[in-house]
Amino acid sequence: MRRYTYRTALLYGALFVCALYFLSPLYVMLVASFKTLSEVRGSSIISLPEVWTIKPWIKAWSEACSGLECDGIRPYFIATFEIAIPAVAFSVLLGALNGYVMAKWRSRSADLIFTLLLVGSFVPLQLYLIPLAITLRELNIYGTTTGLILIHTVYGIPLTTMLFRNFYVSLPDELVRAAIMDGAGFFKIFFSVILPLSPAIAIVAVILVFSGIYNDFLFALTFGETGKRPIMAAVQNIVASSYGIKEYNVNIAAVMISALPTLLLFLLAGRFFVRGLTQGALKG
Amino acid sequence: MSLKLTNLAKNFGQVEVLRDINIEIEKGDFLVLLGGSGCGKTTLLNCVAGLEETTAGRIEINGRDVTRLDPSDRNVAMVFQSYALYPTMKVARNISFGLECQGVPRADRRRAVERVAGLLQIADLLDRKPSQLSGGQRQRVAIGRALVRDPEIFLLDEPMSNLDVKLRNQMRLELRELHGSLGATFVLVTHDQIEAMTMATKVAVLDGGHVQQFGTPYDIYYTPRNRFVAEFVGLNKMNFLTGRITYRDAVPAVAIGDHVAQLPHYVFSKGKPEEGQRVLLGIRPENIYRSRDRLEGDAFLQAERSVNRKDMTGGDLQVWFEFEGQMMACRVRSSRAPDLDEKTTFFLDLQNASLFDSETEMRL
Repeated sequence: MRRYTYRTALLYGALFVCALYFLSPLYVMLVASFKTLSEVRGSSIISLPEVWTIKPWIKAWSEACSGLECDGIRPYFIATFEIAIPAVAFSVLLGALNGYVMAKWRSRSADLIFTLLLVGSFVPLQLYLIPLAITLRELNIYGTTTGLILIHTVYGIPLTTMLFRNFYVSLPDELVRAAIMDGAGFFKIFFSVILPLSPAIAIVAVILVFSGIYNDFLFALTFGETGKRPIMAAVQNIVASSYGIKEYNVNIAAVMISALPTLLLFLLAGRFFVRGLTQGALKG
Repeated sequence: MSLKLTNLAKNFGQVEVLRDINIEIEKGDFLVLLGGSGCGKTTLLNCVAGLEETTAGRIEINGRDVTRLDPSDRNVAMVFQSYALYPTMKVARNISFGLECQGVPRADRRRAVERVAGLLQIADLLDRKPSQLSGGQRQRVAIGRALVRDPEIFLLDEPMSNLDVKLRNQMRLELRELHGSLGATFVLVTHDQIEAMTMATKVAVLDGGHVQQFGTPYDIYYTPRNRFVAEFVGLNKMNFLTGRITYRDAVPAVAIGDHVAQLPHYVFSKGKPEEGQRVLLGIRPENIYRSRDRLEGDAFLQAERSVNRKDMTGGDLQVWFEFEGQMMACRVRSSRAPDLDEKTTFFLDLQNASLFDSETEMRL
């Protein structure tokens, strides 16, 4: 018994050290974002603020300068959602449709197309930059929100297709056959039978694609609309701004704000995320 | 004529799955497609349903050529092996989904669901999801889904293979009653010969993608067309004795070693065989007795042998003995079984024996 408690203590001690290691930067950032600039410079990084202030957060949200504009990160925050929401919706819906076709309406080319999609999704993003720039220019949507929506939709499709296909493969074929016997057509089967079975895997797809788009820096910086760049590019601009003094507290608050959406998404939908990843075929 | 298949063939790529399928049944028939796994019986059912395209041949339903029609235009309904109920829909919508696809108005759909639910006694299940149902209840809903569309032909793909034995017997009975009361045509796929025997008006025995025999349950039990059918049908495997045809005073007989099996009443399907032709004489274990009184006719063989082996199956039991270099099984009541090595007189009743050519294994 004594040995047991000793080992437990050791285990929890080790876990505590790990947690401290990972959480301490967050703590440092959190306290710094509530300090005045002079306190950030003058006090120890681990000490609590002497004077609590939310000014850095307000400034980061609506006043911080990125380049010549001084509207904070709010416009970029909104711009990101303007891109992410349609792109997530399109790529998840199209991925579900693709997966449905590949899993349940198998043709000889299905496996080949699936392989190509997989290969495509493993190619480093940088390779796409120049072809994408040319394509967007030809389509006349270079440097626009529409352009980024298109890029992220297309880039999300291989991932969502793979997720949905692998889930749909585990559904019994007889389900589709029964619906065919009932006289349901291709889309009727998809929307009435298959899609209602997909919420868990759809949540997985939404989380992965959304955080991918939200955290995207490369495309945002390259193809973003001036003044409406997505958040990651904007934060970089604010932090790297060379005018005046570096306002660490404001920069940190900006980073914290920009990290919130994905953090919240995981916290709120994490349970479904795990369920979606581990769910197999229907029982019974 | 309700269903007519003419020279039906189906290939998957290079593999011939079905060939030369010719079956014709009348309205109200209960056709059972019987065969082991991989014999093509489910593929045949899928072809009739329209879920698989045929490579060659014709499918007619009530005189209408449906070979190239979509499944929903054939007026057939199917019950699947896994039931394939839509998991996210309640029972009521599961049943009415087909009507919904046909554009039947909501009020009519509800009436139809209520009618079927009453018929199958599932009215209190209509608001449940399939995951809240037991196996037997799912089975009923699956049948209800077929029933609601009032099809000309019901197609059932091993519908009872997922039920336990007790429930299976009950569902068999109910399915037969349903068939009787509807007067519709049923086609059922199974590997279970008892199911075939109890339910069918017509049986098609399939093997290697080919119809080995098509006939009534009596036909396939009493006059199997070839050795495969003879062995496949029947609870216990048929015994085969090798011999040669001989004639004694124009009466056909089979000479087996020192024994001569006279077959005065045997009906040859294609004329009398030649003297000396090598044949297989098939005798079912249930046609070998231990008392002369049970013989059905005057044609029999008699032998005193000792019991080599006993296989208990419950009420009945198989005892094995050696006859002319061949192990023979005999079915006896287990309460009156002889002991091992006990000398016993066996009577091999030839009244219902079958003769096969030993080369082609076809019935003579």
